[in-house]
Amino acid sequence: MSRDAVQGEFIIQPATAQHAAGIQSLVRSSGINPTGLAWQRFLVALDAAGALIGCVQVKPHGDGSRELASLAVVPQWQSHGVARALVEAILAQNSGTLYLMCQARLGVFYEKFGFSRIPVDEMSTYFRRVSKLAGVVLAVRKADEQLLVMRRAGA
Amino acid sequence: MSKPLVLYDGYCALCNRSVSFLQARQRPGAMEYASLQSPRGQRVLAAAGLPLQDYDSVVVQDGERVYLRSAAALHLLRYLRSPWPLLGVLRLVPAFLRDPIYNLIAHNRYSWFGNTDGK
Repeated sequence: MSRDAVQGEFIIQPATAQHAAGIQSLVRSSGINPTGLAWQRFLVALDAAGALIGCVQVKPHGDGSRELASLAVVPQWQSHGVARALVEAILAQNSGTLYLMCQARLGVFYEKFGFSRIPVDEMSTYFRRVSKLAGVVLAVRKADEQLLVMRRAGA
Repeated sequence: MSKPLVLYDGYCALCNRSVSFLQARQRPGAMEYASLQSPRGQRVLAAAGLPLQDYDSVVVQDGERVYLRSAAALHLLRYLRSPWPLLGVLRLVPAFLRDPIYNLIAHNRYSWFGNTDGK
């Protein structure tokens, strides 16, 4: 798995144990859910020098649903096609139904990959619970942020 | 028979919140949603001969019919749970009176309510 980018070259590959710390650091610095980061589930994007520049995983949940999660790209590589390449690569490996949760501004990005936003009554038990919890947290923080739950039907 | 499809501006905060409002009040499984910018949205716009960018209206496709502006908003009411369909009485107000109000909000949606892509 490889892909040329505008300002250089990067490759997409399955993560190894040596990427575990980098994945945790990148996910935390990106301000996204820092839980459930087992490196075995991840794909990583590496620059020509082998440095970690992006990551993504498919995370299984207890109710049987699976989540496209932990998509993160280092700032200097954003807008260079890394996120798109990571999503394309992980979707190629996961043909079943997938969910994701994202900020409203990212909804248009994920629609390009076949995801569409769904109402609460179409969510799996896990996402119903998490979206309710997220709503409470955002209300308490008085955040003017909106979260979407999206689903991509299995092939 | 396909469900009504609601197409909205995916970068508009008001539009995103409006879709959340609809999703919370619709009859189960009654409608589908996509942004105007999505591949699906672009296909519907092209087929209907509508602008592919610089959108100024929500678009509702229901069967072979396409609804715009206040007519689209009022059409959606029939797919919501009670008592929201009662607001359909607003259809008695002529479109030439309804649409200017819709247009005023639509044209100022970014400045009044913000956008979601931070631009």
